[in-house]
Amino acid sequence: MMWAKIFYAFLALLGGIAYGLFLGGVSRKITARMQNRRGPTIWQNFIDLWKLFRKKTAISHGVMFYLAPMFRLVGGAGTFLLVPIVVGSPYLSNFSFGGDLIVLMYFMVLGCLGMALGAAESGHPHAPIGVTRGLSQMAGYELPFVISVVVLMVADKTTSIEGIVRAQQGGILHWHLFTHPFAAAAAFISLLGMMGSYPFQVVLAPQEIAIGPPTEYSSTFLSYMFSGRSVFAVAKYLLFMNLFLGGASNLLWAFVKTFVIFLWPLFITNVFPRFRLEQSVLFFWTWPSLLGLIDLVRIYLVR
Amino acid sequence: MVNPIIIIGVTLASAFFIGILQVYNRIWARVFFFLTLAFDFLVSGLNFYGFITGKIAKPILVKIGGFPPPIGINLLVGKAEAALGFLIFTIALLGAIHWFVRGLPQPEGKALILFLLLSLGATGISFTGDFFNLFVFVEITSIAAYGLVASSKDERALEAAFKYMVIGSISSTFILLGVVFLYKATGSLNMLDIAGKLAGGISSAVLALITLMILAGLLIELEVFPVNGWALDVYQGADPVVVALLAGAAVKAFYLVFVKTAHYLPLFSFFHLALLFGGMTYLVSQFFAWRQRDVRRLLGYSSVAQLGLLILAAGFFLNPSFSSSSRLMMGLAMVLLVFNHSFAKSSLFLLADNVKEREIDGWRGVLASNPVFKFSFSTSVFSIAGVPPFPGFWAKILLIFAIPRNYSWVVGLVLLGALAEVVYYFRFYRIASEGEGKKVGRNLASPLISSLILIASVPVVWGMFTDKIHIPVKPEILLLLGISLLVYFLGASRLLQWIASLGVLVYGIYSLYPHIKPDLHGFFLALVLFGGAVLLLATYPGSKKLSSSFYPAYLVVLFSMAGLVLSTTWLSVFVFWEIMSWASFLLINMGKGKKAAWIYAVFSAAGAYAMLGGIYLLPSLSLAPGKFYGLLPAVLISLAFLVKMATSPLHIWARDAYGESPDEFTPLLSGIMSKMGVFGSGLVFLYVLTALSGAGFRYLLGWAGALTAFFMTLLAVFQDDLKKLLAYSSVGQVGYILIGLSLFTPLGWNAALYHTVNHFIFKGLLFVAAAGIIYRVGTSYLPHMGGLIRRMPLTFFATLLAIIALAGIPPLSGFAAKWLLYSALIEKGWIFITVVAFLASTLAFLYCFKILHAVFLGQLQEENENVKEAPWPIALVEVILLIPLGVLGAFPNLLLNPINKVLSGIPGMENPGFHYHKALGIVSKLGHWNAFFLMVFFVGSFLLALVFFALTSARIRKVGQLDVGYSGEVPRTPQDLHFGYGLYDHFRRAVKWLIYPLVSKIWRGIYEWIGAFAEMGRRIYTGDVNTYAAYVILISIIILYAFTGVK
Repeated sequence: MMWAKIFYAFLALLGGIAYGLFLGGVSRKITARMQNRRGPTIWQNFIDLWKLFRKKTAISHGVMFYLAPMFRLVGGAGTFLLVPIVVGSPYLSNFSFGGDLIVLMYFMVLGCLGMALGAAESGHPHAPIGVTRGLSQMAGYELPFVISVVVLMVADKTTSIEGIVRAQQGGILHWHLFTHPFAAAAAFISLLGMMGSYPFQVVLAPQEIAIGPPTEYSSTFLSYMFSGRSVFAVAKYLLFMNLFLGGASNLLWAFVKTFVIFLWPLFITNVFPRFRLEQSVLFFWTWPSLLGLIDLVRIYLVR
Repeated sequence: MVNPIIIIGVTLASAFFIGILQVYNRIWARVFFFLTLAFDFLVSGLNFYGFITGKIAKPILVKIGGFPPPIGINLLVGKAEAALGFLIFTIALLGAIHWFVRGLPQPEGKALILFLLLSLGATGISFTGDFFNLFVFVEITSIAAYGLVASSKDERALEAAFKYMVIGSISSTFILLGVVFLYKATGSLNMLDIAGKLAGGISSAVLALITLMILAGLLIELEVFPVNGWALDVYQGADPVVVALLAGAAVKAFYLVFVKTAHYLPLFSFFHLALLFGGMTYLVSQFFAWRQRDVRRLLGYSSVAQLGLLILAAGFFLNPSFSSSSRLMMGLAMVLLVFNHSFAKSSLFLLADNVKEREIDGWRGVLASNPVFKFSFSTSVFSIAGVPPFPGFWAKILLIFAIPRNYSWVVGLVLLGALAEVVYYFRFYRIASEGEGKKVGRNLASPLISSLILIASVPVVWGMFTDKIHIPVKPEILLLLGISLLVYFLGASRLLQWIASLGVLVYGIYSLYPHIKPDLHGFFLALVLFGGAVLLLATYPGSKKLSSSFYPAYLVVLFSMAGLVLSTTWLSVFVFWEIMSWASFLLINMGKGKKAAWIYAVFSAAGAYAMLGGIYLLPSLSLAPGKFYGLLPAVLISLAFLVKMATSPLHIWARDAYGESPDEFTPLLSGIMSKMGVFGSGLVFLYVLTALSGAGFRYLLGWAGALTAFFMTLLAVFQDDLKKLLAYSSVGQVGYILIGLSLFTPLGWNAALYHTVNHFIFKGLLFVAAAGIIYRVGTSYLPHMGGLIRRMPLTFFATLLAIIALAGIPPLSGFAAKWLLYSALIEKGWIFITVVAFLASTLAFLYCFKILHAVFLGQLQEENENVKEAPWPIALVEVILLIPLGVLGAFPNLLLNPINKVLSGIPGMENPGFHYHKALGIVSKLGHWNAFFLMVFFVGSFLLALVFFALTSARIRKVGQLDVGYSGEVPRTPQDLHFGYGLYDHFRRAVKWLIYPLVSKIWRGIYEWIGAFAEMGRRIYTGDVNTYAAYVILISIIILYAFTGVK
C-alpha cells in the first residue's frame, strides 16, 4: 500500500512538474500576444529545462550554494505532495496524510529558505537584496492570506485540507469563494504576491537587480531550481483550488480550476507597473487584510 | 555580667583624662582613647553575649547611689539595651579605626574627647531608666555631636552644625518641658514607676500632651519629614566618621528610647502618629534620593528613609490590638533592620570618605580599582537595598508579613519605597562599577563591617530557612548554594573553576535527581539541571578573562532555580526568585552594559516586590489549588514572571541585558532563566486563579504574548548586533510560550511546555554559537562579519539547524510547538491572536535569514581571513544540542509523552487533546501531522535528488569568492560586494510607524517625571535654618491637633 502510494505520488509529481512547465509556457505565450508579439512556443519551458540540464559546465560558490537547488526541488515537490489533487481518490491524494494545512504552510518555506541561503552564499549582492525583498514581501502577503486561512479553519472546524474541501461539497455556492467572499478576495490578492506578479514583482525585479536571488545560478543547478519553481507554483494553484474552489472531483476539473487560478495573476501582471517594496508590504497589510478581516470578524461573531 | 555603669563611668573618666593627657603626649592620648573604646566594646559585648546565651536572665537594674527607683536615678539594661550598647561601641571602635587609618581630624584632642562623649551619651540614652536622666544624656550627645560636626574644616559642616544646634535645642527643650510636666503630673521621673502608675488607667489630655512633647522632641531627633533638613545637611557636611556614628548608632539610641516612651506612656494613638510620620518620611525620602547627585546627601536620604521605616514598624509593634505573633515578627524585623542599617550605612559613609569627589559622577571606576573596596561597597549596598542573603532582605519579608491584612496599603507603601531604593542605590552602584580603575583611599573599617554583615547573614539565613522556607530538599539546596560560593576561591584559574563548577553541578544533579518527578516541578527541575549542565560546559572558551565571581554566581543562579522549581510555598518561590534575580544581576553586571544591568535590576525588583505584595494578599502561602481570591494577587504575582519573560511592555530591559551580558552567561539567561517566568505563570494559573475565574486575565495575557511575539520579532529584524538580535528573538519566542500557557487547555500547555524545552535547545544553541563567533571574530556587529561558513562550517551547520527549528519549519523539532499552538488557538477560538502569532512567525523568517546571511554567507571580510572554528567546548555543546533538535523533529512524542505525564496530574488536563495514529501521526480534533513521515520524506528525497544531481550534473568548477557575474566589473575587495548593512531598510520604510520606540519612551518618561517631582519636592529643604524651625512649629501644631483632644 505504502509503495503504491509512493508510486502514484511520484507520477503525480512528474505530472506536476510538467504541468508547471506547461503553464509557464502558456504564460509567456499569453504575455507575448498581449504585447502583440508572436512569442515562443508553449513548450519553450521544456526546451529551456532540457537545455539547462544538458549544459556541460557549471560554477559553484560553496556547499550551501551547491545544496540549494536540492532544497528548492524537494521543498517544491514536498509542498506539491502535501496537497491532495482529488480528495478521496486513492491515486490522487498524494501524501496528504503527512500533515494538514498548518504543516503545509510551514513546509512551504523550507525550499525558499534553502534557496535563499544558497543564493546568499554566492557572494553576489543582488542575491541577498532579492531575498530580503522576498521575505519582506512575504511578511506582507502572509497577513491577508493567514486571515483568510484562519477564517476557513474556524468556519469548517478543521485544519486539514481534505476537511476544508469536504466542507465545500454540494454545489458551486458552497465553495468558499462564495460562502466567504471577502476572505477569498484577500487570499486571491495575496496570491499575486506569492506568485510575484506585477505590481508585486519586487523579488526578481529584472531591470533592477538582474533576477535577484538566482543571479549566480546556471546550468544543471538552474534546471533543478526551475523544476522546483514550476511544481511549487502548481502546488499553490492546487492549494487555492482546494481552499476556495471546492477542490476537484477528477483530474479534468483539477486542470480547469487550476488553470483559471493561474490566469488571475497572469492577467494582473501584464497590466501593472512595479511597486516599491514598502508600497507592496503596506498594500498587503491594508486592503486585502481589511477584506479578510471582514470575514474574520463575521466568523468570530457567528461562531 | 558587668555593671553597665562601669561603661559610662570609665568612658566619662577617660574622656576627661584624655583632655589632660593629650596636652603632654598625643600618642599616649590616642592609645588611651582607643583602649577606652576597646574596653567599652568588650564589656558591652560581654553583656550582650550574656543576654543572648541566656546567662543573664533578667534585665539589669542599676540603682545609682543605692537609692531605690522613684527617688534615685537608675539604669535599666535589658536585651535590647545591651544589644544597642554593643552596636554603638562596635561602630565607635570601627570609626576610630577608620580615623587612625585615614588621619585624625584637627584639633585632635577635642575630637577624641567629643567622640567618646558622643558614644557615651548615646549609650546613656539607651540605658537610662529615668526621664530626667534621659534629658541629660540627650544633651551630652547633642553637644558632643554639635562640636564634632563643627570640628570638620569644611564650611558646609560649620553651617550644618549651627542648624543642628538650633533644631537640636528646640528638640531638647521639648523633651525637657515634657519631663518637667510629667513630673508635675505623676510625681515621678522613673520610667517603670510612671508606667506602673499610668497602667491604672489615669488618662487625661494633659498627660497626652506631655507624652506628645517628649515624643515630638524625639521625632525631631529621629529626623522625620519635614523636620530633617538639618540632618541631611549634617550628613552631607560632617566628617564621615562622625556621621557613621550618628546615623549608625546614636540615632538608634533615640529610636530605642522613642519606642520605650511610647510603650511606657500609652496615652493616645501612637499607632497613627507612627503611621503618619514614619510612612511619610520613608516614602518621601526614598523618592527624594531618586536624582540626588551628592553621594553623602544620597546616603543621608537613605538613612532618613530607613528611620521612617523603623518608626512605621514601631507603630505596628506597639499596637496592642494586633496579634502577638505578628507583633513579635515585627519586633524581629525591627532588630534586623536596625542591625542592617547601622552597619551597612556606617560602612557606606566610611567608604564615601575614601573617594575625593562628592558628586556621584566622580565615583566612576572606583569598583574596578580595588577588590577590597568593591567587596565592602557591594556588600553594604546590597544589604541596605534588601538583596538576599543579607539581613535587610529578610527584614523586609518579616516586616511585610507582620502587617495585618486591613493595613495592606502600608505594604504597598513599603514596597514602593523599597523599589525607589533599588532604583537609586543601583544607579549609584552602576556608576561606581562603570569605567576603568580610579584610585581610592585606604579603608580598613568598611571591609571589617562588611565581613561582619556577611557573617551575621549566616545565622539569619539559617533561621529563616528553618522557619519559613519550605522545599523538600532544603539541606541539599543550602549545601549546593554554599559550595557554589566556595568556587570563588579557585579564582586564580578559570580552567580550575570550570572543572570545579562542573563537579559541583554533577553533584547537584546526583543529589537532586530523585526529585525529578512527573509533575510540573520535576519537569522544570530536569530542564534546569540538565540544560544547565550542557550550557555550563560551553562556558570555557580558552583564555578570555572572566571575573572570579562568574562561576559562583552562575552556580547560584542554577541552584536557586532548582530551589525555585521545587518550592512548595509561595514564600520560598519568592526567596529563590530573588536569589536568582540578584545573582543574575551580578552576572549581567560583569558584562559591558552596566546601564543594562541597572535597568534589569530595577525591573526585576519591581516584579519581585509586586510578587511579594501579591503573596501577602493570599490567605495561604502553600502552592495548592484553592478558591479564587480576587484578581489582584494574581496580577501582582504574575508581574514578576512577566518581567522575567520580558513580556511587552515590560521588555525594555531585555535587549541590552541579553546583548551586553557576558557571552558565557547569555545562553543560560535566555535558555533557562526566562523559563522560570513560564513556570511561575503556570503556578499562578494553577494555584491563584481557577479555571473559570481567570479567563479574562488569561485572554489578556494571551494578547500580551502575541503582541510581544509580534513586536519583538519586528525589532529583531532591524537589529544589527548579533546578540541583541537573538535577544529580541528570544523574548518574542517566549511570547509564544505565554500564549500557549494562557490558553489553559491541554493542547495549549502541550505547546507551551514543548516550546519551553525546544526554545532552550535552539536558543541555547544559538547563543552558544554566538559566543563562539564573537570569541573568534571579536565583534558582535553583524555588518562586520560575513562569509564565515568557510571558516566555521560546524558552527554554521549548527546555527542553520537551530534557525530552522526556531523558524518552526518542519521537519526539525521547532514545528511541533507551532502546530500544537495554532491547533490549540483555533480550537479555543482565539482567532485574532492566531493571526497575529502567524504573522509574527512569518516575520521571524526575516531575521532568521539575516542571522545566517550576515554571519556566514556573502563575502568573507579580509580581517576575518584567519578566523578558526569555535573552541572545542563550544563546538561540543553545539553537537550535543543538535541531537535533540533532529530526534525530536522525527519523534516529537519523545517529549510530548513526558509532558502529558506531567499534565495528567493537573485537574482538567488529563486528556492531552490529541492522539497518535499510525498513518496520520499526531491527530488533534482539527487536523493531523506526521512528523516521522515528513522527516523520512524530506531526508530521503533530498538524498535522492542529491545523488541524482551528482550523477547527472555538469562539470562543476569551484570559483573564488570575488568571481561573480557583476556587470562586467571586476570587484577587488569583499567590501565592494558584501551586502551586510541595512539589510531590511526597504522593509523599515514600510513599518516605520510600528517600530517607534513608544514603550521605552514611556518608561523613560516615568523615570524622568518621578525625578522631576522629587527635585521639586526637595525644594522644601531651603537650607535656611529659619524655615527648618518653622517646620518644627508646623509639625508641633499638627501633632497637637491631630493626636490630642486639644481644640
